Amino acid sequence: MTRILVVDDEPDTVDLVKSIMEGAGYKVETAYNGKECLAKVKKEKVDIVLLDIMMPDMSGWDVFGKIMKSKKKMKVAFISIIEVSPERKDALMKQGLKDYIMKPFTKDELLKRIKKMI
Amino acid sequence: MLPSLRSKIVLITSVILLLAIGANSFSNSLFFSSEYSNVLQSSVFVVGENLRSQLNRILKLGIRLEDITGFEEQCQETVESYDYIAHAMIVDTRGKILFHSDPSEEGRTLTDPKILDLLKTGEGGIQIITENGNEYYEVMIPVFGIHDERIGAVGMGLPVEYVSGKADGLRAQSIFIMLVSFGVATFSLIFFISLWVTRPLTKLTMAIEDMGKEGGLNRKVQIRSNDEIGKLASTFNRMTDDLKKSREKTEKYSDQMEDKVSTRTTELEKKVKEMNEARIATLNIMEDIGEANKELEDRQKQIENANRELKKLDKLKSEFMNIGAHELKTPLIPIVGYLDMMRDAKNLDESQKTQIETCLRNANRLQMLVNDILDMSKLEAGSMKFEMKKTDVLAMIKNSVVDIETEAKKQGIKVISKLPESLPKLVIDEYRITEVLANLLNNAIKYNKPNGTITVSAGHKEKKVIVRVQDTGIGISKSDMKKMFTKFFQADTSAKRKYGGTGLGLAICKSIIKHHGGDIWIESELGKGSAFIFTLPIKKQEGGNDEDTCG
Ligand SMILES: Nc1ncnc2c1ncn2[C@@H]1O[C@H](COP(=O)(O)OP(=O)(O)OP(=O)(O)O)[C@@H](O)[C@H]1O
Ligand SMILES: [Mg+2]
Repeated sequence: MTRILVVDDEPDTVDLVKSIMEGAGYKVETAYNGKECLAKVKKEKVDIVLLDIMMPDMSGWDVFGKIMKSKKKMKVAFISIIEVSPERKDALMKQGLKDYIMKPFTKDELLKRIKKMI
Repeated sequence: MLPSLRSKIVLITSVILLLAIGANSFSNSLFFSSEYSNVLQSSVFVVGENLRSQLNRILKLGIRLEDITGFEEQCQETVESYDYIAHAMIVDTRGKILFHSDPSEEGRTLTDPKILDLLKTGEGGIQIITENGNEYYEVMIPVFGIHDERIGAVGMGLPVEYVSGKADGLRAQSIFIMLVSFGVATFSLIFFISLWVTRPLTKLTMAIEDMGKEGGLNRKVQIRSNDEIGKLASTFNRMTDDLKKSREKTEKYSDQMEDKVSTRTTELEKKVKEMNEARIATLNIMEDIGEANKELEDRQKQIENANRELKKLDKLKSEFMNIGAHELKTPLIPIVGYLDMMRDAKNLDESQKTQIETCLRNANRLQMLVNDILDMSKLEAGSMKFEMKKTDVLAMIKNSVVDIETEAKKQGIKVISKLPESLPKLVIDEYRITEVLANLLNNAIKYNKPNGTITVSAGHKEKKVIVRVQDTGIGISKSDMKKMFTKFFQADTSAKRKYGGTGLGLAICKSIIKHHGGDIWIESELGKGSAFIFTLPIKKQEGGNDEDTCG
């Protein structure tokens, strides 16, 4: 079963993504900041990380960089309000990012993107 | 001023001591006085017993009680030997006094019913009686004849006053002891507190106060004890040591710095002097020019300062905008998300379904509004970031058309593209211009008539590319046309309710087009449809190719 780690400093958003994912039968882990996310990535087996960008302690960019450095076999996608230019997106994809999902998202869209990542 | 630490501790402890000692001695005095009276009463019994055995010895000789004479002497002797016995007597079974320590009492018959009762029991006992205004513990011990028949009793009087007086004395004594021990305790308390607490603390305080004075850091607090104050003192000493060390270090460092600075300054001064000499020479020749130069320099500095200020403000503003945007958008995400999920729930009835749809539609509208307002304020503040780069406009237009085709089909509207083979490449922000096109196309759907058409055309003229979105919709009146691009303008409120939207779309479009150096306008006839046209300039690029077109 695919395990998804949802990382966002907004608990409500985490809950939303979690219930959408669980509704589709995924196993979901949650983290509410960068540190927590890195700890879970280290300890638990995670297949996909859905990463928010604007978080108070450590930005999603930094968390993404650290995960990529750790060479773990997991897919990371940003899920953010921030709009980035297509160039930036390309650069991120080259660094190993699997997708860039914009908030707000619809349930169907989110599930479609996850399925594509798998 | 608040009382000193010592007096506070002394006060609290003395209150506790006083209470403890007081309670103790009070209970002691109560206990002792009742115990004392018991002891006295039983010794009266013993004395009475003694008197009775004297009488018994006489009776054993076969002499009858009535025949005994002079026994009052023994009674008197008893009273004299024991100062707590007021009187001693021998009575017969009816209470008639046969012998008494006071002979004048002899012959009298006791009348107190309590005593008479005692006489009848044959066991003896003790009763409180009043005689001549004095209270007595009256002890009665029965006397038996040779045939063991009850023939009378020995009576002894113990004054109640005597007993209570003794008890009072005891109480006074215990209060005295209490006061003395309290005093001693308090004084030793004061002494030890000052020895162990106050004096070391004062020492410490003085040392801390001294710290700021000359050489204060060299002073050590001399307190050697293992308690907290001792630890405090040694910590304090350690701290002053550290402070001293760091002060020495900074002093040394600042000395070095001073040295360095002064050598640098002399060097600089030398250089400045040299330069000045050179400049004076030059200035002599070109004084006027120099002055003008100086003024120019000042101006430049002013401008630089102003620029820096502006940049700071700008940064603040865009930071604020970013945070504000995040804060406004975030709460809407779970709202829209959950509504989106709820809509798929199975056990909803029709009205609940419409309610959720309404919520969702409005939340979406709010989301759009927030986005539009943020975009608008960014545009107005000039903090919108445009990423200008060479773009294939033709492909962009085609993509935009594809994007709205499904929605148009849903509404029964036909989309016709009249696009040229090729268009010059433009340096624009593709994302933003796509946004403009999307809004114009969406408006053309929203404000069209059923079975209407939308015609998208484009071309280029001299120095600009022209894009046109034509619809066959409700059209726009002349007077509305002017207001079209103002914020929040919506032609009529019924349309607003019907189509949703914020009335910001066109204002944003205009702002974006203006930023690109282009133009946007309307051609329309009420009831027949309207056309929105915008232009984008073809800028000559340095080293670029004007003929750089594509298709
Ligand atoms: N093609 C059109 N035909 C007729 N009226 C139009 C057309 N386009 C715009 N309008 C009128 O101009 C108003 C402003 O349009 P604008 O795009 O700024 O806002 P909106 O469409 O109401 O909302 P949104 O901000 O979501 O785009 C509309 O409310 C409508 O009354
Ligand atoms: Mg619009």
